[in-house]
Amino acid sequence: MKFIYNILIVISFNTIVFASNEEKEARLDALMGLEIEQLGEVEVKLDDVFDIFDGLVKPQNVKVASGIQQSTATAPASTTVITSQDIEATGARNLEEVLEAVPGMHVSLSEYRFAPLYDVRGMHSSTNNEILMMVNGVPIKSIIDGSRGGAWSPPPVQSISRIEIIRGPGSALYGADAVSGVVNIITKIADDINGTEIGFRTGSFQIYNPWLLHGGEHKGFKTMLSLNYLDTDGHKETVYQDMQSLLDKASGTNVSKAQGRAYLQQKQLSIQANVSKENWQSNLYWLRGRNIGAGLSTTFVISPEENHEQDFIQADIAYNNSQIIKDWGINARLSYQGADDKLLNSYSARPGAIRNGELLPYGAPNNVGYYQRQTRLDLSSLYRGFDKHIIRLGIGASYAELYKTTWSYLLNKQSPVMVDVRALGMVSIPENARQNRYLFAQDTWHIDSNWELTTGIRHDWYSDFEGTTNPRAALVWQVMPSLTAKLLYGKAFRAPSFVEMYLPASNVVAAGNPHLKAEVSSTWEIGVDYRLNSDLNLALNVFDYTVTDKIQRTLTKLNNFSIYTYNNIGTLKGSGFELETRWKINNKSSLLFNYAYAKVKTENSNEAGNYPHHQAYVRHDLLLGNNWFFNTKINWVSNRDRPLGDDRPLLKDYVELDLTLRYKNMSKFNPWDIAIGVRNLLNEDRREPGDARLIGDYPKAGREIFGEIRYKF
Amino acid sequence: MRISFFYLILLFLIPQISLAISEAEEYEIKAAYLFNLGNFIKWPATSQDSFEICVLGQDVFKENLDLIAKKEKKLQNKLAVIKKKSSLDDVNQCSILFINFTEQSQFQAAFDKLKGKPILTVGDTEKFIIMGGMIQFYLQAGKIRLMIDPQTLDENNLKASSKLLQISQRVER
Repeated sequence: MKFIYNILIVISFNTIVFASNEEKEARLDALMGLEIEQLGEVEVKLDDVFDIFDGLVKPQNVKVASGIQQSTATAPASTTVITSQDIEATGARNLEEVLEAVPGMHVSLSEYRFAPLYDVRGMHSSTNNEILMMVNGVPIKSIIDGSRGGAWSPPPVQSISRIEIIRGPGSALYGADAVSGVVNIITKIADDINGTEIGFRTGSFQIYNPWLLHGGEHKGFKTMLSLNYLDTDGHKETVYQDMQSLLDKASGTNVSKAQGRAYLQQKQLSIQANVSKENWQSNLYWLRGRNIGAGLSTTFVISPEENHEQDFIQADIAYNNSQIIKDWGINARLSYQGADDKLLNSYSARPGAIRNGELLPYGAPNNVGYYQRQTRLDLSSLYRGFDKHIIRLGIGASYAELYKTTWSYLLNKQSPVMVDVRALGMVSIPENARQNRYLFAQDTWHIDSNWELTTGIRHDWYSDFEGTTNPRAALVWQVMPSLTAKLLYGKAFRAPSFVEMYLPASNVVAAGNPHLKAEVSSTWEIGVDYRLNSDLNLALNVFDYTVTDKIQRTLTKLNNFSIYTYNNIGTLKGSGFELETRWKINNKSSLLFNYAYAKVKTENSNEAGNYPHHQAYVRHDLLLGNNWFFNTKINWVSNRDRPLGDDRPLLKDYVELDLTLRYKNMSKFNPWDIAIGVRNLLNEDRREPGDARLIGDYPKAGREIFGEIRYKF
Repeated sequence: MRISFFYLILLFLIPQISLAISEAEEYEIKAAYLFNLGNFIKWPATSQDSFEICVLGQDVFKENLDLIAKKEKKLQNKLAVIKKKSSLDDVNQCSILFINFTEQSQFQAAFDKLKGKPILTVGDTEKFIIMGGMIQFYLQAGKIRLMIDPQTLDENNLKASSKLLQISQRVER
């Protein structure tokens, strides 16, 4: 709290510089009243060239809240918009850095690859299955465990045009898994680039990241192309214990690689393309990852030999026409996704370990593969024929398939021969498919000039679990032109994953439960958006949610032995608020500050744990001279409790301080854009909650530096 | 933690100067300049009854020039008219021509074609003057200043007033 107090004091020290609110004409009159030599003394608003200062405070439009363009102030949800300009100004190099700016969002880590978990409003899980991430409106969701799947990476930051985020439920529009939030990453199109950019980024951990971006018109088709290659060693922060350490302790061996680094290296190539002509557009995202380090992997064991391979493809074709016939608009999209994941040399025990009294000279390595594909058809229509209503109707279907799983290991632990155990009738997880169909309707009722009511409902049918209906309502009141208040209610659900439903009992780890239902949540929110003047915007959102039928793993007796299985038994109750301040201090500097508080309890009023009660984020942008931009980011994470049964000492609070200096010459024909930066300048030991059995939790990177150069032609 | 507070405070103490003269958008100031230039250049006498300020290439001024012309009305005792041009073949009536191409190569062709004509060429692209333009806007410490090449003006029978020469950065070939 002291931190916030300090910041507030700092803010109050500064007098607010009110920008002249004159009309353009008045300004031109004033200019024409000057002598020619005086014209040379007028300060230029640089906003129209590199719009960060104005861009931070001016009203933003979102589409994610209802499918209709609305300002964030009046949209029927708690939303955040991040533009490519924000990404460039803050020097963000990946999605984790970008999304830390979202009020109430905290980026935590999973075991596997230490991949980011985007925890919203205190909802934390090891697969992050409660948030819906989309790329250009297409969900990124592994049907196996509800995560984003394997080694998936989002499109590189330089190819992102904007990101629209809902904090809170989104199932009434987007269906499954939009419980804690929705993130839609919208990639650049030809007009956003208009030329060719080549760039190169390098820095700590042997990051080597060249890219190419191109946007232009070819034979009447607007075409965007992005190529990105990333090679990195990953950070080497210490992991104190893994499962092998516990096995070592029990059997008197010493073969664990902990304490030591986790392996987080990767080589990755991605191609992204967008082609459009008139009402048609098509997107492609192709990703190939090789030699991907697994972190603690799915076995919670550090293995230097372990590496994963991923091939991912997402392609869609869409038709959009805002006026196909009078008053009717239509959107149609057919999309396909394929994800092949191979986990190689995944050790559940290290060579030399003793397990169940048996010495394992070669350890217990596994090679596992998962092949998924998903096809979706989404149709929606907008009717504007009524005076005071905008009606949106949608229908769609998807088919998701886990069509191949491979598994081999040492059948005889004394001989190093990997055996394909599918031949013996063993599966890591059975092949399976899931069908979904849905129907939704939404009405935006413009009651009068000050009141708007949005109501919506969506029903989802599933082939393998009970269907679910999710309504929502949002009442928005424009109290004054500068003040908006909203009351929001929404239900949402999370689909049980294949692991939770179909994991075979022979797997020993846990047994799936085919009778699971969806997890459901209901959320109430009150939001206020206040535009104090053209340079200062305040927003406050208060929330209260309940998740019921939460799927949890519990020890159950099955055929005379005890095994973990999954049941709809949990409850989660969360409440809190987010405060957001956006302030254009003058035409050379701006400040964004947000603070979020959350408190989440489980069924017996026990602390849910593993999330920060308090978080604050500060971003300051400053123009030095004409061409130098200096950005400061501070991310403060505080007060993280442990869940019931986890008696380890509390996680330490941390402050991440990031600085970026960018040179960007704004005169024409100067194609260079150069940035240098430092991340975690204070070199704080940042830990994220790890498995309760292991001491030390999971580390984020220490101090790192980077440089970036772009050339545009 | 303490270091970061300190740092924050320092950032905010960087003096935030607010000027008496209100700031303006880049192309508002440039529009004012462009119009004003009409008072500081001497053109050879013509029988034309209007004074044309033309914009060739991408129109970055939007409504700025039109709004000024609506108010100011006259230049050199003639009716000031703003014209958007799409081709070089169509600029002979222009007294002032703002050129804004997206390709550097287009400039060379333009200046070759305009050689000897009493048209004041103005631009804000880098090397505009070096390529053969007469007046170039440039940014210095957040303010817009002028660069002028009197020799090019001279070769096209134009003459800049001493005041304009005084406030502009002269480029000598």
